[in-house]
Amino acid sequence: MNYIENIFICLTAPLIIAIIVRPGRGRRMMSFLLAGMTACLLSSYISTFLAAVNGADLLQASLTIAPAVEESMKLVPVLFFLMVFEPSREEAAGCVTMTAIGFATFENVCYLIQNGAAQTVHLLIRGFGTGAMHVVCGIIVSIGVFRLWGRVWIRLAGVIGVLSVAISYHGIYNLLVSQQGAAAVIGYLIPMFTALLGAVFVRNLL
Amino acid sequence: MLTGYENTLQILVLGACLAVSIVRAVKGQSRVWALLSMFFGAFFLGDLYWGLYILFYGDTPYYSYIPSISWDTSYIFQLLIILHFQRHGVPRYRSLLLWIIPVFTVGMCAVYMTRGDYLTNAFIAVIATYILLYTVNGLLGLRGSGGEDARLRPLYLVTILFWVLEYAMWTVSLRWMGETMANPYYWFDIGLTISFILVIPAVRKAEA
Repeated sequence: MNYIENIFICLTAPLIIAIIVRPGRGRRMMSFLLAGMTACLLSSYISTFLAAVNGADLLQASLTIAPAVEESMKLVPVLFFLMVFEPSREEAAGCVTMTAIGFATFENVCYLIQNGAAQTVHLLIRGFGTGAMHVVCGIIVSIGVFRLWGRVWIRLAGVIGVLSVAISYHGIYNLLVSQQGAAAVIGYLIPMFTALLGAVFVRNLL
Repeated sequence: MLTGYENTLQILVLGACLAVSIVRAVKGQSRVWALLSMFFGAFFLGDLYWGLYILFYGDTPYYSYIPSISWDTSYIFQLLIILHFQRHGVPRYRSLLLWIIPVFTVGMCAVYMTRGDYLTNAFIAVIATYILLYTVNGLLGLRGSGGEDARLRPLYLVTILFWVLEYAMWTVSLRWMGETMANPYYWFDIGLTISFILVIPAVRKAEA
């Protein structure tokens, strides 16, 4: 038993207090950090439910169901922000990234609780790998959404399109890291390499 | 083994096409090349997931949501590319012949639904109908036209080729003839790989 709700309460309590008392831009950033953690919590419920409905085991669920659910849930707060508040590209890009960071942080904490915190090197690689993967998926979504945020049909098709690209990227990452040895190392390194490439190209694309 | 080789070839070609289109999208700040990058990227990721799963588990995935989503998405981007070039309108070619397209796609959808899931096949039928209607209509509208729109002809032709090969592959795979070069599935899939290469000059000409 993971007591994921208890972990969620412990992690988000200071954030909620800070969101209430701190005015300005910092509040928005922390709100999206909280939204990312909430999306992670809800994703775990939905993935578990879908796995039970489909009769999938833990491995099958993490390879086929979780990527679709997690990326969709991460997109929800961002889409809400884009449609209701119509922010600038820079503001929205920051919020996408904060949501991804919140999601990755909560996922990493749950992983630590479940698997222990003894292996420093493995956790270092996993922490950076998973963190980079969620941020990269967030960036993929932001690039697509911003570049295709035109007419309604382009907007709709664009959002579905970039979401599925992010889902596939996430699925490939999960597939690789579920293996042992070189495949897992490659899996952890791919998002970091993509994040580095993104750092070079992302200014041109956003 | 043959599936693995053929899958790897397609992944490599798609990776190269993706790199070319990303470079053009970034250099030219062009929406159409960004859409083409998404088209190649989605298909590439679907193929990569499929290939890696076969490599690690020795079998195709039981729940193939992720590659299916990727391939279906690439069709959405293909439609967006066609619509991008037709945004200023195209000459309408009205003919009863165009009804062959929905009749064909819906008919094939019914056949495929006997083997596969309903949602994916219905989605493919809808999107294939739209893409083929736009491209065939555009192509027929160009007949005898030496005007500016004639630059779209290669793009229309390569898109139609892509869909003919997709349908040929799916139909042939209904009666699987094994992992042998005598199986036409592999020839159609190699043709599909070649059609990816042809998309790049076709889009370049359409954009000129």
